[in-house]
Amino acid sequence: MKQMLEYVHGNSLIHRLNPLTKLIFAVVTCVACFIGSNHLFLLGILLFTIIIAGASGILGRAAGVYKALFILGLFLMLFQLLFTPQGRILFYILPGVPVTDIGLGFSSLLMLRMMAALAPLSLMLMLTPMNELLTAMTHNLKVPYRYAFAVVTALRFIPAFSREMDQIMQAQRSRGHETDTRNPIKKIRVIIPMCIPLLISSVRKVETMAISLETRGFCTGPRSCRKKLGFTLFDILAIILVMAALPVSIIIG
Amino acid sequence: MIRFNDVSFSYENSDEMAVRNINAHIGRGEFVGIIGPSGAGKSTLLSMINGVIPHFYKGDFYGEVLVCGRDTVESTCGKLSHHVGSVFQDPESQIVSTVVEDEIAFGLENFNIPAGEIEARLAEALRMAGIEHLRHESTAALSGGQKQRVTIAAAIALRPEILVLDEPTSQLDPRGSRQVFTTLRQLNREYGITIIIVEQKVMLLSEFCSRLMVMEKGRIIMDGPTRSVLEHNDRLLELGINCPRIVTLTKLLKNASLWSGGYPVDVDEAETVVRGIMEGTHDQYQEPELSIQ
Repeated sequence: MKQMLEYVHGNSLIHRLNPLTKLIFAVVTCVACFIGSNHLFLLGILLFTIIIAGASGILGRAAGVYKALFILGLFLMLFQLLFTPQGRILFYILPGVPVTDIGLGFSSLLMLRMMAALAPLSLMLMLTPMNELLTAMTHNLKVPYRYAFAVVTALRFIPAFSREMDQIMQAQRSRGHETDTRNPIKKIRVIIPMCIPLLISSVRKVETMAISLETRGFCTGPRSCRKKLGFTLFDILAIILVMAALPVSIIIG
Repeated sequence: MIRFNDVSFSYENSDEMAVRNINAHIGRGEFVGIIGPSGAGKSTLLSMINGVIPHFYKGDFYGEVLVCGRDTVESTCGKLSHHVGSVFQDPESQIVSTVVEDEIAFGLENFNIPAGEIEARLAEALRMAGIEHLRHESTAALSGGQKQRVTIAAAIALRPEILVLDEPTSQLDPRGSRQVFTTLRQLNREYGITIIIVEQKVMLLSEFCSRLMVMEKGRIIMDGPTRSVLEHNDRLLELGINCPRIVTLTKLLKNASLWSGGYPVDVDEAETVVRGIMEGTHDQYQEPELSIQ
């Protein structure tokens, strides 16, 4: 989970794009994935994101993301398969549970859509430093700094909380609390008692952070910005390329 | 520079006074260590200097605290932060950015300082904290000591006259702790920044601070030059403050009437004392170490 959202440092052409361009890329491809209902189109988008990951030199880290998305997609697909009895029966997965051609087509589309829609969002977060995203949101999109900061901080805290949770899990495990179970219902029962210490430590962390913000003049007046983020020719080309996905998705439908 | 005039404070929902009848004056350029058992009001005292009390933590506030001539109650945390830089215990939760340079620029941007000047101050703060090489690092990948120095750099980038630190080395190993104190000493000596630090590591305090304050149950029970506070080591021990080993050693030497001078504050001084005894009294005492024991 933490790998899916953490920025990976690099200096590729894509890293240097304006954060707004990357934000547009993420949002537009995501929308296009929901408009287009064509296997090849979705596969194409997925391939496109892999090319981007490769071009920016983060394919290694992105591979983990694709794997996680694939597993999630597979589950979705399986569920969808089981509950679509319409169409021509191809074979039986279990006695009395048929797999049909419509079911197969629909469920694989769902899986591809989920993967193709989430991959660009995850890539965008891995390729954009948080503070640049913040600058883009406040200066270009005119989101009030207070709110933009809250969003970015929430994203930043996810890996911190995940580390904290690991620590709590290990502490509980060392005291004999069973945490490894494949039974999903048991798993939930095992995790609930750990949420309380996580909640308490998070509240503490957030409080310290609030004090730290107070003592560094957070929101005391107008704010300056260290970096000027300009649009280059590449940004414009990238935006045109990404925008092209929209009409294509509508045409292919 | 900082003046406490008969200050008492109790937190909201608490009947007990966290600090009571505090009267103290801290001058420009001092390096003050505050020590005492937990719950003695050390952090409360610090929070009054940077305005976190009464602006963040509410409660009953009596007396007045003047920081650089301003009454902290009438000022705000934001205004006070031009004068007072703050560093807290857990570096992890103080850091708001993902990259070191952004973290240091954060406060500067909040104060609407133009981009050109931010660059200069950023470089200066990195140099002062000795972390120029970490400038482009991700804050998540740093070690505890490095993180703590990043928080110090972030505080000094605002060019405060005062730096308050609440147990900044609590999560650091001995080497990291020493690094932090060395950085602080440099800031104190070269840039004249007044430093007030709450710390449990008495050895580091005695070596680096020029003045010690000992707190117990909300009061300052001892306040003076480090050397003279250390003379009351019996009282400190009662409070659960272990004196540095060199103080214990000197005390034993004193008890054995081998030494009548003041207490050394660091290992080098202690070495001079012991060497002096060994050389000066070698004829009288064959094995001075034995007589100490």
